[in-house]
Formats: sequence, structure tokens, C-alpha cells
Amino acid sequence: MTLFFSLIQIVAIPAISPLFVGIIRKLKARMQSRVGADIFQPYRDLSKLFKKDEIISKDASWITKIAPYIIFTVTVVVGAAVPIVTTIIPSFTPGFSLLPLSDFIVMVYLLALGTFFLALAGMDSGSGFGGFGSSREMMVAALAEGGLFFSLLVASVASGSGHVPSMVVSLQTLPFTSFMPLIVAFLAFFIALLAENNRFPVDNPSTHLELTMIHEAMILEYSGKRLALMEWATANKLVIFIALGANIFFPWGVAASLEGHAILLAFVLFSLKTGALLFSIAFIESTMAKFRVFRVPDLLFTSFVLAVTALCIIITF
Amino acid sequence: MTHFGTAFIMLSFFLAYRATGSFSFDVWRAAAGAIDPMMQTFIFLAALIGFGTKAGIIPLHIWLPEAHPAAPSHVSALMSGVMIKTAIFMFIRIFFDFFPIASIEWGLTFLVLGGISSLLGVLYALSEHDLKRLLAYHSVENIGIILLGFGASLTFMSLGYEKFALFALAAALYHTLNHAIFKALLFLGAGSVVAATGTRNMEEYGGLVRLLPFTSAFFLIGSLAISAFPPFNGFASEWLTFQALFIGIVSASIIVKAIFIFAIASLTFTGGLAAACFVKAFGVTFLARPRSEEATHAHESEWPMLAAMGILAVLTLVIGVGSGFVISLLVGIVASIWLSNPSTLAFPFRQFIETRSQFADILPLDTVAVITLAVFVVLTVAIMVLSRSRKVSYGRTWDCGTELGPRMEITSTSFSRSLITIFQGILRPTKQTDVEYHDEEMRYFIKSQEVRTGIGDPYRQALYRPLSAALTMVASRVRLVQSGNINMYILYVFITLIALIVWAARS
Repeated sequence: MTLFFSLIQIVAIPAISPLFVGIIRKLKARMQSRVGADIFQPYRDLSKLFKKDEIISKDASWITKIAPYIIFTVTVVVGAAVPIVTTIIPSFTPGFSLLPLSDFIVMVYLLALGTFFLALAGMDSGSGFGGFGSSREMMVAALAEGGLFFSLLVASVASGSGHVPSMVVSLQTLPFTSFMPLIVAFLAFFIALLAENNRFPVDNPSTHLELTMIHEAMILEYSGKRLALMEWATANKLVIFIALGANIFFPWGVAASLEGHAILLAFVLFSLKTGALLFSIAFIESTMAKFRVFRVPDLLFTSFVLAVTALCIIITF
Repeated sequence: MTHFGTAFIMLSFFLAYRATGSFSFDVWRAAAGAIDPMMQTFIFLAALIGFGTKAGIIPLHIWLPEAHPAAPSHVSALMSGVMIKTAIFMFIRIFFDFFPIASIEWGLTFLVLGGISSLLGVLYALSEHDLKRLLAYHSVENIGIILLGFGASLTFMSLGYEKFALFALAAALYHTLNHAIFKALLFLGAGSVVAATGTRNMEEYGGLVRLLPFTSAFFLIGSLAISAFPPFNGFASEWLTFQALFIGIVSASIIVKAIFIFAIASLTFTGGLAAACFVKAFGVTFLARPRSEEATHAHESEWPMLAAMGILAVLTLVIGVGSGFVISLLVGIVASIWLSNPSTLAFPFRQFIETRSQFADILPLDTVAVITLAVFVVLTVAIMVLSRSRKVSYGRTWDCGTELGPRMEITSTSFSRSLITIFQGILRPTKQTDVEYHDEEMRYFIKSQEVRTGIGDPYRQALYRPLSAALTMVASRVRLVQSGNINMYILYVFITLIALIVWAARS
């Protein structure tokens, strides 16, 4: 039973991530008075890309070839320890569980490892686009790290635990009145989510034709199965952030056991929480213009300051 | 700067002699409690400046980026890996062994200095395009990280939390060890690149990954380790340092908390900026196309050089994955300073790691490494099998229809330009444009244009230049007595003699 559950947990995020991207695109289309593609379209896109032949730049090295595999692996590994509907940590034998992966510092730095290889891959083909994409990506990632890290630290200090599942368990028992700093921290986390996942107002995820693009500039030279892996990894990362945001800062309803009705309730609540988050992302992307690249740091420092404020409230009261 | 540092080290030892009446370390230990607070402050301050110069703490770091690149690379490896660590060793000896009486302000001072050194060190590294100077600035950054652990330890010590102090000091020592390994690896890699191309200027590299396959792989491992990515060793010690600092933010007084928050913030941003800096260092050096004639003819180093790098690269991984074992060893070492039996220690901050009470296995990076590797292998094999019938062809990079030259690639300067612009309040970038026209009267046709960019050096301007100016001024006043006339000197001797006789007669 536990083994079965553990395997499901490992494949869960890659399995649902294209759906999340499809839902955002559908919501955006509706808000912009378009019909939009089916929410399952990203699955078809991925399978189409996997079936295609590939072309690689002559200037590229083994970094380009290996990077998509590393980036995808990192998102799967981090995703395996993110609580989705339960706070149970996947384990295979009594001595071998995924507990170390659920430490929030490990999560943040593993995801940063993916960003590192993504930026290297962007520089590898030697095109001007890729290089500038990498430069900007590392700028955004370095500055977003403050807000991301400190917002998770707020939850960690409030719950007295460094492991995400036990953070969720412990925060469930926190009285409603103590949630104010966590809401402030959530705002910081949400800004970091937008920046780390290349959404508005930091980057435009749906264009290849803008000089200020970041993420798309780096993967411009990819095609075929490697492009599919890159796209899929990006979707995984988005779901990891959404699941973390929904379950840490709004911890109610996440099941502590594998019983049927608890799981069902958790599933319904998870859908509602993530649905609300997806709606806000789509809403921001439909109503806001993208920031000039040198206004992005202001936003990211705002996120950092919000998180530090939340931390100060937690440790002084 | 060496003499400057040595002078202060001597001063601190002489002050200690004055206070205790001996040069013996044993006497110092015994007399530590009896030294009056004023004297203590002077001893510690002199030691801080003296050894701080040796360690390269900002603003005493200015010799470091000049000296390290000038030496041959294997010597730079030793300088960065071992020499500046002796200063850390002496800090530990002085503050924990000889005079374990420092008040809380000293711990907080070290935290602030560590935070500043790590943040500014990485920012200066980011603005460098000389590969070895870049690495030298990263030494400043890493000394800062070590000092964060050390300062936390000193703070806990003066607050009376002995076990926390032990833990934080273990984190600092762990990072000291790690930095010695990955920085030696990176300097050897840089040496290999410099030997192959004959220049330290990163703008003239590019595309070396094909010509130096082993060097580039080892340099990549070093970059991953110094950027603190799991499961390499840099992550293990930064994780521990983070845990030590987390303990601080739940401590008693509000000022202590605030300084610990500053320390955590600087460590967080340092991590992100170091990753950006090593994307630049690796990408600009090894990826894309060669940007100079030398870089197209580079060839791989001899095997002893590669073997040395290989051993260090394996060590970064082993010491990272085996972090549990290393920590238990380090705790034994640290405990030998105060405690008799390290095995009685439980992990100090239980709430953070509930299920893991033993000190030794708090960070099983081996699990992380095994799982990551397993997923990677399964994924790669699965995709290879599934896509075996798909063709892979090679073509030119898309170039908007123009000829794609090496000048279109991103360079070191342009890569870090956006971050430098964001931090321009700290880095004070300078830009100087020289334009030569075909016709000076009619300034429409530019013949040649030269743009020089750089960053300001506030330390020399605001600190060292006034100091040396003051020193020169005092020296020139004193020079008045040096007339060169021998009769004058005999007069000086005579006056001194009279004065001494009078003084002796009075007492």
C-alpha cells in the first residue's frame, strides 16, 4: 500500500502538470474573449514533440544534450516530496524514505540546480538570444531567491519544522488569528512564484517574438524530445510552486492518512485551492503589462521585504 | 598589507603579554578571566584587524585579488585553500581557546563582517572578467560564509548555549574544509585554461569545452560545489550554516535577532549570486564558440594536472554525500575544545529535525544523491528506448539570417551588466567612452570607438588613500629633524642623555 502510494506520489506531479498549464491557457483565453484550446492540449503537444526528429546546433556541446534530462529529473525529484493531498512522506523500505528531500532548503537549492543548467544550455549554442536569456534568468533567479527562501522560512519558524509535510501538519493546528504573518509571507511567495516560473509581469511565457523574453530565449535552440522535456519540466516546476503555496500557506484539509474519505476531501480542497491560484495567475496575465526588465528587481525586493516583515512579526510575538 | 596585518598581530600578542605577563598560551588560558575589559577589547580588536587582513575580510581584502592571480595557479590554489584559512584557525584559537571570554558584541561583529564580506565578495566577483581574480573574490565571499558560522558560534557561546555554539563552529569548520577542496579544484581548472590559452581574460575564451573536455567537466563540478548545489559538499556546509543561523533568530534579544536575520539574508542572496557568477564563469569560458585565435588552438593539460583535478572533484562529491560522517568527525574535533564526550550530544534544535535525533545523520545527502541518480537513469534510458527511431541532425544556430560571428555571443561583461546595474549603488560602475572621428569638425563619421567599463574602488579612495596621505604628511613633518648635519645628531644624542639622567635621578 505504502509502496503503491509512493510510486503514485513520484509520478503525480509530472502527470498533472500539463493539465495545469492547459487550465491556465484556457482561463486566459476566456478572459480575453477567445475560445481557447482544450485543457488537455498540452498533453497532445508533448506527445507530438516526442514523436518529432531533433536538430541540435553545431556549436552546442554535451551540456545542451544533458541539460533537459537534468532539469526534468530535478523537478521530478523535488515534486516527489511535495505534499499534494497527504502529508505522508513516500518511503520504499523503513530505512529509505524521501524525508531528506522534503527539507525546504534542499528543495530550493535543487530547483536552483535546474535553473543553473537551463542557463548554461542557453549560453551553449552561442546565439545572442540565448546568452541574454541566461543573463536575465540568473538575475531574476538570484533576486527572487530572497523572497522565496524567507517566505518558506516564515512557515518553517511558525511551525518549528524544516520539512514541508510536517510544516503543513503543524500549521493546520495554528489558530486562525495567528495566520496574519503567513498571509504576508504568502504574498512574498506568490511574487517569487511568478518570477521563478517566468510568468507575468516578469516574463511572457507565450511568445517567441519579444526582445525581453527570458525563459523562451534560453530554450530557443531546442526541438523534438529535448524541447518536450524542457516544456514538461517548466510545467512541473509551476505545479510544485502552486502545490507548495496552496498547502503550506493554506494548510487545511491535507490528509494525514491514506483513508478514502480523508483523501477525497483533501483532493476536493486541493482542487479548489489550486484552482484559485491558477485563476489569479491567469487574471494577472490578462490584465497586467509586463514590467520593464529593470523594474523587476523592485518587485523582487518587495517580495523579500514582505517576507522579512512576516518573519519579524513571527519572532517578536 | 602583509606588514600591516603582521603589525596588528604582533600588537595583539604584545598586549596579551602586557595583560598576562607571559607569551605562553597556557598562561593566557589561565589568566583569561582576569584581564580587564578595556585590555580585552584592545587585544581582540588588534587580533581582528591583524588576522582579518590575512583572511581577506572586507574592507581589509584589497591585497587578495591582486596577490592570488599573480601566483601560478597551483600556488593560488594553496593560498586560497590553505593560507587564508590559517587566519580562521587563529580566530578560533584566540576567541575559543585562549580567551573564551568575549562578550556578545564580538560574535555579532563577526556576523556582520561575515555577511558584508560574503555579499560584497560575490558582487565584486560578478563584475570581474579575469578568471583568477573572479575566483579570488569568491575566496572573500567564502571567508564571509565561514565567519557567519564562526560569529554565530561566538554569539551562542557568550549567551551560554554551549551546544549550539559547538554546532555552529562545526558548520564553520565544515565550510573551511569544503572551500579548501573546491577552490583548489577551481584554481587548478583555471590554471589549465590559462596555460592552454595564454590569457586570463575571460572575454578571449569561449568554446573550450570541446578542446579541454576533462578540465571543463572538473570545472563544472567545482562550480556546482561552490554554488552550493546538492549533493555536492558546498551545499552540506551551507545547509549547516543556515541551521545554525536559524537557531539565532529564535534567541532572546531583538538586536541579536535582527543581526541573525541580516546574516541569513546575506547568505541567501550570496547563494543566488554565486550561482549566477558561475553560470557566467563556466558559460563564457567553456561554451559557445571561441572568441580569439588562442582559444581555437587550446589543448588539454597533461595527465598529472588532470589527475589532481579528478581527485579533488571526487572529493567534493564524497565529502558532500558523506556529510553525516564528516559532521560527526568535526563535532568530535570541535568538542575537544570544551567537552569531554561528544557522543552525548543530540542535535541542538530538535524542532527543526524532529525525527532525527542523532547529530551524525541530520543531513542524509546520500539519499538525495541516490534518488536523483535513480530518476535520472530511469528517465534517460526510457527516453532513449522510446525515441530510438527518431533522427538527430546537426545544424547552424538560428541567427536571423546573418552570419553568426563570435562577436554576437554574450561576453562576461554583458552577462553581469544587468546585475551590476541593479547593484550600482554598491558597485559604482564606471564607463569611459573615447571616440575618434574621421573629421573632428564634422562629427558624423566615427573612425574608432573605445569603451572602458570598470567598477569603483571605494576602499582605496575612502579608506586607504586618506590613511596613506596622513601617514605621508606625518612622515614629512618628522623629516624636519633629519637635517643631515652630524653636529645636529650629536646634539640629539646629548639632549637624550641629559633627559635620561634627569629621569633616572627623579625616580
